[in-house]
Amino acid sequence: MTDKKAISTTDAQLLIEEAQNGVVVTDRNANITYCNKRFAIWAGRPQEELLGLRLAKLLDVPGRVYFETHILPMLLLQGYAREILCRLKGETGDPVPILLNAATHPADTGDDSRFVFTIFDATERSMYEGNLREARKNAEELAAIVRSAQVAIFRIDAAGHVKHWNASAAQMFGFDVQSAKCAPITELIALTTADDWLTPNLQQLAASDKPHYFDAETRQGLHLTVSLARIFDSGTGSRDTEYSLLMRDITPRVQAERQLQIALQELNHRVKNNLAVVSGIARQTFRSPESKDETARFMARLQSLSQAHDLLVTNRWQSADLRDLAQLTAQNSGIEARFHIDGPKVELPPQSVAMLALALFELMTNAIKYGSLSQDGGVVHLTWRIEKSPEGPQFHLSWREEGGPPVVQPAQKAGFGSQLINRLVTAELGGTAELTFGETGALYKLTAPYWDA
Amino acid sequence: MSVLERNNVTVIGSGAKAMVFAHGFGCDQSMWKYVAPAFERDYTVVLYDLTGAGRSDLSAYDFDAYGDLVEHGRDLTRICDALELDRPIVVGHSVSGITAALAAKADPDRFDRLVMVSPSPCFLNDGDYQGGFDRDDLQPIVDFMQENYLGWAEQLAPTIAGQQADGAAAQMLTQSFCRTDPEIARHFGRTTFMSDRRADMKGVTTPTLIIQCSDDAIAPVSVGKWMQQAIPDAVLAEIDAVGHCPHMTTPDTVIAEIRSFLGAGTT
Repeated sequence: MTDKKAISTTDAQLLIEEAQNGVVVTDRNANITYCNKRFAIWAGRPQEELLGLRLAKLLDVPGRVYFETHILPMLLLQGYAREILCRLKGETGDPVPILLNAATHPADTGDDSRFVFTIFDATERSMYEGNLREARKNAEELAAIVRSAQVAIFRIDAAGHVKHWNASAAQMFGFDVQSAKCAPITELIALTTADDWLTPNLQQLAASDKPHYFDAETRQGLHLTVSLARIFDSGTGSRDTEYSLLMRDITPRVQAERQLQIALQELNHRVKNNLAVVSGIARQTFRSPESKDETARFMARLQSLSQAHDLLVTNRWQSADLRDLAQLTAQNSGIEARFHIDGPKVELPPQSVAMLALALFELMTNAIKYGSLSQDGGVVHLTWRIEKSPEGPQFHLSWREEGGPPVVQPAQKAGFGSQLINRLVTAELGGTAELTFGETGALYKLTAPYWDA
Repeated sequence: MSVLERNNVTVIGSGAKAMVFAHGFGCDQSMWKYVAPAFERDYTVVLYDLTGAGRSDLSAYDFDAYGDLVEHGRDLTRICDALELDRPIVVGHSVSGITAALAAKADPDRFDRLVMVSPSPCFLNDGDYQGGFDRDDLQPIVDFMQENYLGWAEQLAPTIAGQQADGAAAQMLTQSFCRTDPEIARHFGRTTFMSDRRADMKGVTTPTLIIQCSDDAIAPVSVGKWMQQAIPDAVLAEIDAVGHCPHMTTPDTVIAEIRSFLGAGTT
């Protein structure tokens, strides 16, 4: 025996019969003429029972269809079929995933040749392929989002060169596919800040764990809001950090804001103009000496209204800070030091600002004329607070005069000042107000549901 | 690109009458290699790959249009028109038997005769109709078409792109008899297995031969019988054969049945 390839027939039979893979021989129409022990175990039946059965019948339904439409035609056309993943369906139990290879029997030639199927257990492969398919499906779905997003998305390398981008990016900045690849992002997109706008932003990104956000404007006049973040992924083969750069075109929004700003300035200008015109008319109208006091009072009220209006303008007509309003009142008295102002930060709703400003102005002028500010040492405590109550948070404002002469209820029917104080303010704020006069001056209390709850 | 290039049309022989062979779901025109040559002497034999299969132009596969089998039927008519075939005989396997019927219904005088090998107008069991599959069976079949194509694009793209078919590329090409883009395979699988064209069959007036295998897991005998009753002018030839591809497993029987049908007087 010198032939090292020689193997005894007994050995060969044993190897095939006890092999770890399934071996099946069929006739030309896939009817089983031999199968080894392993295959019988997977098929869940004794070997003898499998003889004469069509191999396709041992597969699950999709496998059976695939066998008829693909595997057998491939065998008949080209003499082999490789690496087909399908499932054996035993009489009982779960289907066994198998990897099926088939070829013409090596001993046969011609139209009557038999087929040999070599079958492997593919339980693990089937599982990871399933996982792979799932992962690919997810990745493709994500990629579809990137592709169709209305945001320019770039992947750039550590040197700031462009590696990938989506369709929106090409469209937004109008570059062509050829020239963009590997080009520095700062050349593709020129921002108004600096030629190399990337480096400072990368430095800011490096300073924290979070993505870095900034607004920018291109030299072509496009307004952008930008986010820059590190990409953490594996499999790129690169040790250098790469970055994602997302740019959203906010030009329409910026333009709208500018328009709004212009409109606000215009509005403010006109309101101030009208107030000036009204005071001019008043000055021209009330010229008799008897009306001098009333004119002055009117002009002062108008002045107070104008100042309240300024407060609103600085806050873009959205609100005004009550503390600013209180301090304005104190300043207008000319004796600011005699006001004790205290309270938390409260933003007044815009429609109530003018009324409250006028009300405080009336209280202030009354205090100077008749109340605590009419004599030395008298003070005003202007305080407010938010208190919880079963009906929700309540806003309390108090104007308490101290150190003044005893004040009595004016006999005169309620004038504009007290109307403001009592009714208009409470109508705007939806609460109640009370003005009383005591031994040392006036006491005014306003209570309303807190609007900013 | 003309439809003849797009569908990789092959014309053999020069008979006055043409026979057009349309392959079924799964492979390509080479499925006819055991049957078509028998007719080359007497007929002009025309073979083609369905759009989306074999070496057809895959980029022409419009997923919306080919979601309806009618579009495959239109392809058949377009090819016959391009070759100026006068009332050809159409031989369609499986789903292509049905698309040939749809083309014949749309244009009743266009074809002389139809031969359907293992056709099924509906795979779903529905009341008395035994299509062979329950609803729960069908979706896994469609999904399965994609399962065996992991990495397909990387492997076969060069061949499809039109490289020379030699060496390693030729090996890939032979494997491609029964392979196509997995998305197309799945979509065509869905269109094939989820369609129900039973209502169209009574409108087919062309004389038709139905070749039915005695044991076919895909198109059972009950379907062949249903087809014969539905199509007004149909003959049923039930042959003693196992499987869904008698034109490959017992080609001589199939050839004899077709000859006998055509011998009964072609016009």
